[in-house]
Amino acid sequence: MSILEVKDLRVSFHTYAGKVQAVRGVSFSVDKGKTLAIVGESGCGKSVTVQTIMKLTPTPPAFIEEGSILYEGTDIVGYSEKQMQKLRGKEFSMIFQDPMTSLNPTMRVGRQINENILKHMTLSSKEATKRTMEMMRLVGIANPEINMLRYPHTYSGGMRQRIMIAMGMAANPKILFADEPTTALDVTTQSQILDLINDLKKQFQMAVVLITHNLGVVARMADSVAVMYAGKVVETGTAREVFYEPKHPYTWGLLNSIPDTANMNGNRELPAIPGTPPDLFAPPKGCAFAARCPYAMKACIKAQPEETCLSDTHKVSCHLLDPRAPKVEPYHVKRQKTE
Amino acid sequence: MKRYIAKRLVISVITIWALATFSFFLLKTLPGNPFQTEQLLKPEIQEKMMSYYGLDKPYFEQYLTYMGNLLHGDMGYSFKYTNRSVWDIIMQTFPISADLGLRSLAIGYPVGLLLGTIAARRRGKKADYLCVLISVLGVSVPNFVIGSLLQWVFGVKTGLLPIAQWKGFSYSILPTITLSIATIASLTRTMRASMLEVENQDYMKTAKAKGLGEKEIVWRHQLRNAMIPIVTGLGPAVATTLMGSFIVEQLFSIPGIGKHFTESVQALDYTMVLGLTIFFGVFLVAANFIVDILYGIIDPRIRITD
Repeated sequence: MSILEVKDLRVSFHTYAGKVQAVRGVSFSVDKGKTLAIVGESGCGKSVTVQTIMKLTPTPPAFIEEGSILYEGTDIVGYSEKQMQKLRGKEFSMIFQDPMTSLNPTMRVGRQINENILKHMTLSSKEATKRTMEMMRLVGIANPEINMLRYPHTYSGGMRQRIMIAMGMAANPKILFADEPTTALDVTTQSQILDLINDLKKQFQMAVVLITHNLGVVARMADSVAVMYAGKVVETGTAREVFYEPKHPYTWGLLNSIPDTANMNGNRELPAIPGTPPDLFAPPKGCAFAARCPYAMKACIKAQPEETCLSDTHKVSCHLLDPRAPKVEPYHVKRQKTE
Repeated sequence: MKRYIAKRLVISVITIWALATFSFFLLKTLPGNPFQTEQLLKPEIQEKMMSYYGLDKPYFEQYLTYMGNLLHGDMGYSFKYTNRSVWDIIMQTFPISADLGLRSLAIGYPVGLLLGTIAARRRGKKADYLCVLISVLGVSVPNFVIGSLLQWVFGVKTGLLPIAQWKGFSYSILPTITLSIATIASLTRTMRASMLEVENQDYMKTAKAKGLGEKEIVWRHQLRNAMIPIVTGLGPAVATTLMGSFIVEQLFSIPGIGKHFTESVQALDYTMVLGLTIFFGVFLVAANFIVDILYGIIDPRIRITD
């Protein structure tokens, strides 16, 4: 049973220079207690998609042009600001990329966590403080009695991200959106934060939507994966399917550009996908990836590929999967073990 | 904290000493002497006066005498207002200017902050344009124009308020408004810009993602952070406003300290210029010191530690 289902979501930003079609028909679903990872390069619409679900992007300039967002079966696209306020923090929570700037510098961290609890739970202020301390212990901050009185600038990046998580988890949300939660942290801290998110997910049967461009993180965390390119989901499936049987050339390119530390001999060039993503002011008529795709055919420039279902979960949008298309050898795909 | 205060005190004393020294010697570079008045005293009499006041002695000797007296709290006598000490004049006129200044700040700060906040919240709407218009007008129209207009409308035409002098509450209304316009104008601009800057901060998005309402976000998260730049400007603003305004005081015939700043320089009233400069310096240093301590209350990142 999916807790969140996004169907054919289209989001545009209306600017002076024209309409930017940031999200151009995105569909995915997240199951209760599972992790969906959304991967893709910068500017492909990952963050916009997630922020649109929580309606954090201001309207104007952002408008939902089309599509539905089903939360537990109810479409929330038409929800008013008041209705959204009841969902935010209580049903959905979000942690952001940069913990250095996402906490209010002039408010004690305890109060910032407490604020969430008081807003969404019917607790006395004494009980709320108790819960704040519980949450801080839960994310691994000892002595919450003292530490809740500190200001954000006295904490390190990793600790601040823990506080962000405590804040997000405070009212027992059903879905946690994590927008590149470890990008701004150093590697050892990254690992701790990912473990923490995984533990909490299991403990509270919470769904996690993880935005990242780190495929190592995906392999470690995700149950299913959605690969986004230029505002569209080009391939989606279980982590196993996407890592072991990728079908879209863009996914091949992504997997291929993971640096191979095991077989490094110093000569191997780090593979990259040549070119840049298309201009979303005027997206191409055909497949958005065609200009950078080594297998591009005439059909790719003329028409958008339809979605092909390879299994219940594995869906790919690429003309190569058309029976009339030539069979191509995927360029070297490294097999990453899913942990 | 104690160490910090001690350190600041020492620095303050040095600052004031430097200010007094520079001002003393700079004044001596001005041509003429305090006795070249309209009555055209004979040169012999001028010379006699100079030697009577000790102004014919070497500059350095004069400097030592002045600083020695200053240490005893003696700023000397005015050359222009005979038989009145500089300290007496300051004590007679400063309270009036400070009174007027405080009134104008008490109106200017809240109104400016309010207008700035409204403008930022209603960005791009009519209320915003109105607030920006007020602030542009307030900055660009000189206060003698505003003051004269107010006198004409409320004093001459309608007779509601007295035009000039300083004899009670009703007399203070027009000069207070005139003086507060500039404060309102500059604060509206600063507060608007600051609110808009804070609005784009990540923690505002965090606050929204928590499910807080707009009022809660503005009151708890935005305002306090937007106040930080305002507090920075508070020290000098308070000091200069309390020190009176030459123009507004002239316009409304208020016996404040403002006119002495200009007149004493024109009359080469050495002791008066120095006395006022040092008094203003002490005041400015003290105001900045208080603001620096206040700063930590608003922004915990710069709370003072030793």
